[in-house]
Amino acid sequence: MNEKKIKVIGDLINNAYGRARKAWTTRNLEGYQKLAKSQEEDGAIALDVNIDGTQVVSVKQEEMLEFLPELIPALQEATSVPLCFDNPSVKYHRMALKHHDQSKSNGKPIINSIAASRENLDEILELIKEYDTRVIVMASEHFLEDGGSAQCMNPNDSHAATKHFVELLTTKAGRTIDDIIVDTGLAPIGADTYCLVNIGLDAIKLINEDPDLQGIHFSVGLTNFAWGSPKAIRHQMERAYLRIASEVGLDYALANPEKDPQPSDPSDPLVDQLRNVLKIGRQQEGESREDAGFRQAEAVLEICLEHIDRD
Amino acid sequence: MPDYAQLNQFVYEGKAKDVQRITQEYVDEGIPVDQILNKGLIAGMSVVGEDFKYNILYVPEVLIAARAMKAGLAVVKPLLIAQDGDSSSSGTVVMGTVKGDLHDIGKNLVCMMAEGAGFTIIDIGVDQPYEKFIEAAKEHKADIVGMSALLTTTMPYMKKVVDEFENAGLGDIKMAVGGAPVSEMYADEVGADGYGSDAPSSVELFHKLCASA
Repeated sequence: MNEKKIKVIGDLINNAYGRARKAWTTRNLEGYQKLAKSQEEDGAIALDVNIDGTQVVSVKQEEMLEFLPELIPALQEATSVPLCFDNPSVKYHRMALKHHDQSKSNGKPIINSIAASRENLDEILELIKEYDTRVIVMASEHFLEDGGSAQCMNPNDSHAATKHFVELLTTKAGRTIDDIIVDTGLAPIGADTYCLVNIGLDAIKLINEDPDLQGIHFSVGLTNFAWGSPKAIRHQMERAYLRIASEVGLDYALANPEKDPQPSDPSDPLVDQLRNVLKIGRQQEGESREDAGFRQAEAVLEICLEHIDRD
Repeated sequence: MPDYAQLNQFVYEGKAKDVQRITQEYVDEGIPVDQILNKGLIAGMSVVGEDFKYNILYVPEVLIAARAMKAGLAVVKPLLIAQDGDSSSSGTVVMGTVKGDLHDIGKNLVCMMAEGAGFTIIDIGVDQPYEKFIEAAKEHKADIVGMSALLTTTMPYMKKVVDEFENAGLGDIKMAVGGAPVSEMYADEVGADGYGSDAPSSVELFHKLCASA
């Protein structure tokens, strides 16, 4: 029984998916509207809008900026579900918000995302304030004292980055804690040579337990998780992860709404198997992260082989 | 006669202990170490890369094979270094994701497979400014700098890195680029020496670049 549902930010508008790529190459607004509607029907509470390039289609920033003024109104014509603008550049968000009509949406738009490494943080904070948006904060990297940034290699770094951004967003951008969604980053469980899956879960737990941060939200990019695993169990693995992560506080996921991205039933044996994998993948005293990652891969493979028929 | 097919198979299946044992046996038998490395270990790992590319292997299997490869490498590496300095390494590669970009799945996989192929890898991590690439390349006397970007927005920074290496008088170091939105054409455009579309092709590229150096 799922006492609490994960709120799904539909990720199908992304050139990594064939359907979106087809809509992009022909700039087919109807194609995009179809993707929007179907995701709404499948229960998405927001729609990610990512028109960046991928390995198979190259996209210039100017092309994105040119298309947004057409795309955003077309999407809003098709659905009143809030949009989640997905790009690291301020220009993208400024253009998207300029053509976004708040009166047509049943919720605030979401800026995806801000992070310690991004330039022009002040500008994006201004946009967030001006357009009254929600925001996804990447807590997979943190601020360094010298003004630079670095990847978080432990839960405390993620916690510090979150605190830093909450401070900025509440004092400079007029946000409430409810407007903030933290993404601690999610690595593929089978290729996790930096122990990032465990670090991310520990970070969610740590941030969620901070009395000063009560009411904050958490999201992950779910498709990363089972990357490189057999198709046959990919989504079941994702759901098992959602079960485990929702127990420590995860309440959102950027995911494909067609694949029922909800926590699996606790009785699904895969949940305990995955818990065990994560336990095995914990870095021990005196060993490298990579050694722990290899061990974790071995445990993942065992599950994979159990669920597939290979020949 | 060494049974390289068997050693290849053990690497492929990720049997670290067997790989280590057999590698040691061959060393003890007096078989040339570079031969064991190339025909026994690297050849095994390259099939792993190929099979992953075509979805025959899953990603955890690639990791497990890489671990086995490393177990063999640990046996032969000290001997090779003792024999002919550090020439045992296929080459030194500084790897990083460019400034503003946090995506590292692809980069990490390239690091692991290139290490498996005998390269010395210096992974400087995600979100790196050109200064860090230069610093690491100088410190470790890199043959190649491998840059990755997953976003259209961060991709132009690759050109910046290439240009700054030129400006710093390090134009001899080969520049390799990769990442989802990057293409062969883009690699040419920014003045890079090569493009790797995925982990196995990147390793091939590194070999090519080192051979042409």
